[in-house]
Amino acid sequence: MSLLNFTFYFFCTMVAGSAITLLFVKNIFHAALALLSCLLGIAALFILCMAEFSAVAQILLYAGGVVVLLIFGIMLTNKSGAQPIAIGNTGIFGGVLVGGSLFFLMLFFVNKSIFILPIQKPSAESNTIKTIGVELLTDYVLPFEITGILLLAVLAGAATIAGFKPSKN
Amino acid sequence: MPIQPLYILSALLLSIGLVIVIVKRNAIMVLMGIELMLNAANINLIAFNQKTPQTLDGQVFSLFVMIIAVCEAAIGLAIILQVYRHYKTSVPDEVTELKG
Repeated sequence: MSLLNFTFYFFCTMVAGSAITLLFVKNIFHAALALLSCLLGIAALFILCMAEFSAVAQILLYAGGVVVLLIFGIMLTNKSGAQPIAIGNTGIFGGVLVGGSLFFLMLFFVNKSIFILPIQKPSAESNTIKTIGVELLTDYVLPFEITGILLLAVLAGAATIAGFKPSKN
Repeated sequence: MPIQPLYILSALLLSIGLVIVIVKRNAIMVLMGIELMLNAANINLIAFNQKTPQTLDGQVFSLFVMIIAVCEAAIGLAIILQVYRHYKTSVPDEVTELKG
């Protein structure tokens, strides 16, 4: 087994292990840390799949943005000085039934190998970031602009919803 | 890179995310489950993009998925904070009344 394959399977195991930890962990802060390691492992898998730009965006947006936001949320919805919130479970039977059957259904279709196509080798001079930039401003310019409007709306909306409103009385 | 393990990993992440969304009794934990499901979709997009490396359609789509995920996390956390301020709880099952 080559070093590349070993790294690939190592990160696959890391992502799967972190996700399973996220499912079973009791302390919500530890859950956020498990999510962080899961997202970093996924970024490493992106690099191994020749998607450097997506990997960097994954680290910047998820590990730097979403996880920090979630940790802020955990701290703000916690009574000061108290223990971190223990996560309860509800409807375990139904949840595991739905999730497990979905997983085995997808496993069945993956193993039927209907997705097998020849993988084309990337050309040596391919410049991923340049191609993505050109595609974003030519083929994908409409989704790109709509995303800009969406981000503006989200910025204003989040500030409006979460902002402190002084009570009337 | 072999692609088959990425499909299985993506299926596993989607199922675990779904179980977390259904089972956990904490709104922030539910958000984490949704992030996991969106990441499963991203892994699939990147894995399929390996089949046609000239076009990079999958990578551009994965960027859009990430942006939507960030928007969803921001708005979701704002709503959770406001609900916590009002009801003093972040358990979705205990928020039962509509009228403030």
